[in-house]
Amino acid sequence: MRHQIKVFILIVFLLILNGCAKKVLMKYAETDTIKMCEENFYSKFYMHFSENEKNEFKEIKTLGECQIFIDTFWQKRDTDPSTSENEYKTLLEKRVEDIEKEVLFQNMDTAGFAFKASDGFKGDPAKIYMLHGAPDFTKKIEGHTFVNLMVWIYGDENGKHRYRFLFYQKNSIQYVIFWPQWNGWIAIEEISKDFVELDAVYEELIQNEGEIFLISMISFSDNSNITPDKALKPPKPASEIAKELAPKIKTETPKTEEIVVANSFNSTIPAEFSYEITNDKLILKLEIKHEDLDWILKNNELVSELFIKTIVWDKDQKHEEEHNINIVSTKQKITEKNSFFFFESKPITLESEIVKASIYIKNNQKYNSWIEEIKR
Amino acid sequence: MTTGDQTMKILILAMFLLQEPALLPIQQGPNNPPSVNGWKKVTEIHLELKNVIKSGEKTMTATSIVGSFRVLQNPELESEFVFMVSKYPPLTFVPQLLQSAENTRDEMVVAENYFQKVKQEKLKEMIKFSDTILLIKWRESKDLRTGETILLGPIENWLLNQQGKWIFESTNDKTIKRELVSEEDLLLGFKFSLKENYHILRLNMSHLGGEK
Repeated sequence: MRHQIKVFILIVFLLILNGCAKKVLMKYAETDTIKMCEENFYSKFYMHFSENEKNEFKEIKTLGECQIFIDTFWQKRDTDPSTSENEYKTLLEKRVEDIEKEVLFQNMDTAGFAFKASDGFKGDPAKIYMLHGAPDFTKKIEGHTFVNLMVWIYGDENGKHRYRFLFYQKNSIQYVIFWPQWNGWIAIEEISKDFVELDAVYEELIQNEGEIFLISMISFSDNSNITPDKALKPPKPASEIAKELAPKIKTETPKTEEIVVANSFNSTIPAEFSYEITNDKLILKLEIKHEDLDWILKNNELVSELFIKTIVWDKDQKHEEEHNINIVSTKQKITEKNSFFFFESKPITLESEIVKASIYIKNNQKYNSWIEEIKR
Repeated sequence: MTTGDQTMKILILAMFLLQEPALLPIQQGPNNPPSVNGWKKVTEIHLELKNVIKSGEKTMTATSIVGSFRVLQNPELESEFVFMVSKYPPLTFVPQLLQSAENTRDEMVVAENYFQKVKQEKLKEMIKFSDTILLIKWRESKDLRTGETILLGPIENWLLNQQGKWIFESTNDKTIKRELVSEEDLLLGFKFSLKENYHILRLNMSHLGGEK
């Protein structure tokens, strides 16, 4: 009786599912658009759609909009934007081809398995195949005491099992996914045929080298952080992964548009460095011609923003100074050859005979640097 | 000899020219370097520095690019080459701190592919703001007896000093000196010297962030 109720519920559930599957996703689209987009594209690649993309897809009305959606869909997933080929599109199209050509049917380990019999692209095996491609290891077993089982294993870089997907044959027709149970006996009960002792199922699996099926019934991955939920999530598009993992780029942003008067170099500020030692006190000096700086207009004045950093290492001491200086000038002064900006560091009392000094100046994207050994 | 071998030989020769201090200055010459517009690019290498930096408890390697060097060949006189160093505003690439170790190798490869594209685009942008700071010109020929590549005539060296003036030296031997510049534990840049004159290509320390 319990079995009959189960079968009845299953039939009702399948009928509902079937009804849902035929429901058109694209609510506002014309028939030809639905054919091209939903039947030829979505029905195959839907496992890779994010929730946002699904919502966006539902709103598509015309073929043109659909083409733009598809182009963007692939572009976001291109794994190497520097090549003309979209490697990810090629990869997924190959998976579609594999499913359509029933590549596992004649495979020794999965002989007789057909995606078509397992609800085609809507079925669990095709979903997994579209997500993860061909498994690294497959095995199928037909039992007397249990329903037919099939396992697909995907390895990781360390040779461990990243995913173990276990399928069982439901109603002797289609393979559906079996989610691992925390209790092995409950798992065995799920796959056992009616009126069979659970010990007998266990024994039959062991005798037929079915340990991998037993493991897959209770554990999905060798990595405890990987859950079935995660394995069924659409993979992040390459462009998103790149955003998350790519290094941060730090550089100078040239203020080219703001610059009113610029020096004749692109990355250099010509300047004269000198130093003075009086009574053991060291002063670092810089002399920069106004015409050798970049100038911007600020409140009707020409301003040059100069950053100066000096470091003097003397024995164990480090004397460091940083200055952000706004030099104000006039256009006439800037063009005069003898118009200079002078800088002097704070006097440093020297302890050693020889000290090392580092001077760095930056103005806009341009810079100059000195490293000197200074003898007393 | 294959083109690859030839390139390598020129590169080695170019690096050789940079390694040792001046030996025999011969004459002072025209101060401005010659135009090399239209010269054929033999090779181009970016001047990169790698620094290990700390952020909290994690460490990562930041890569900075401060310029590049190029070997160019005179299309009208194939035995004539220049080694040219360009300085541009420094770029530093700081890796993202990963939240978990769940990223697969494939994801890392994808991230690297995208990064390479962004890096190239960013470099192109920065190269627009480049200055040539060093030019070494030489001619070479083949030793008929041994088949070895030998220098023909003097080496001409031009260096832009820190005052923005070109310094010229013509020598019979390697003159330009290249040194790595460091500050405390950080690799800062490269120093190119021609006698007492020098020019430093360096990173901006503030780009490294984190603690040293």
